[in-house]
Amino acid sequence: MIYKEELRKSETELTKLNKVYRSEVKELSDQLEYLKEQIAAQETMMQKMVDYVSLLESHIDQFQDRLKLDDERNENGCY
Amino acid sequence: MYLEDRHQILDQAGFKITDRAGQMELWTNDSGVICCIAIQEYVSIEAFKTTFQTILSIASKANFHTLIFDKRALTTFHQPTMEWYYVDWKVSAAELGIVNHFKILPPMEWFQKAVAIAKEGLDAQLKEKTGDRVVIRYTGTLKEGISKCILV
Repeated sequence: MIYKEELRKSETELTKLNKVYRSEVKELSDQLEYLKEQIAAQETMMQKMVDYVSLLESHIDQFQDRLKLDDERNENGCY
Repeated sequence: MYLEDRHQILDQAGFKITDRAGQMELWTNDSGVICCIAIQEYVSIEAFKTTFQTILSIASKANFHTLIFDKRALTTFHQPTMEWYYVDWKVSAAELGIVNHFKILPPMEWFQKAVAIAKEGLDAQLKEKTGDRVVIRYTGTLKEGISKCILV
């Protein structure tokens, strides 16, 4: 009788611990998903910023080329 | 710091909390204004969509015309979320009468620039779907946003 009662108590405790464990695993898993999504979003943001800076650089290069060409034309008396 | 003040500011302005989902809070008042506050540095697309669907649900039951969206807590935004928010959600919101948007951006200049780059083209898509009905304004603080709402 005592043995049965002890067994029942142990099973209840085990079920309870199992429930807590599953809930904690789910919480960690959700947190991990959240962080993964955040990191991916940060990478996209950085990529977009790098693309934007590259575009600005190419515009600056084109502008400098035009200035250089204009200077050369001025020196050669084209105008 | 500003997040700690939000309850006092919103309480004083007659707002009541209607939804608190963990990553965002929703407050409403009796003058047709909904205030959405991001309270974490990143809001997942799932949480974002849930909160903004809740706003549509609230707006379908009563007359709401203005949304104040305080995103100062954010340090990262998610491009697909932003596209959904701009191109789908704002159109649905406009159909329900929410046409005035006050946004409070994080103070970081790089964040503001990143938002500007990311929403290139989205404004045009929104305008194509809603015409000139939707008005988006930027404001610096919650207090300022609330006081501007009164003028709308």
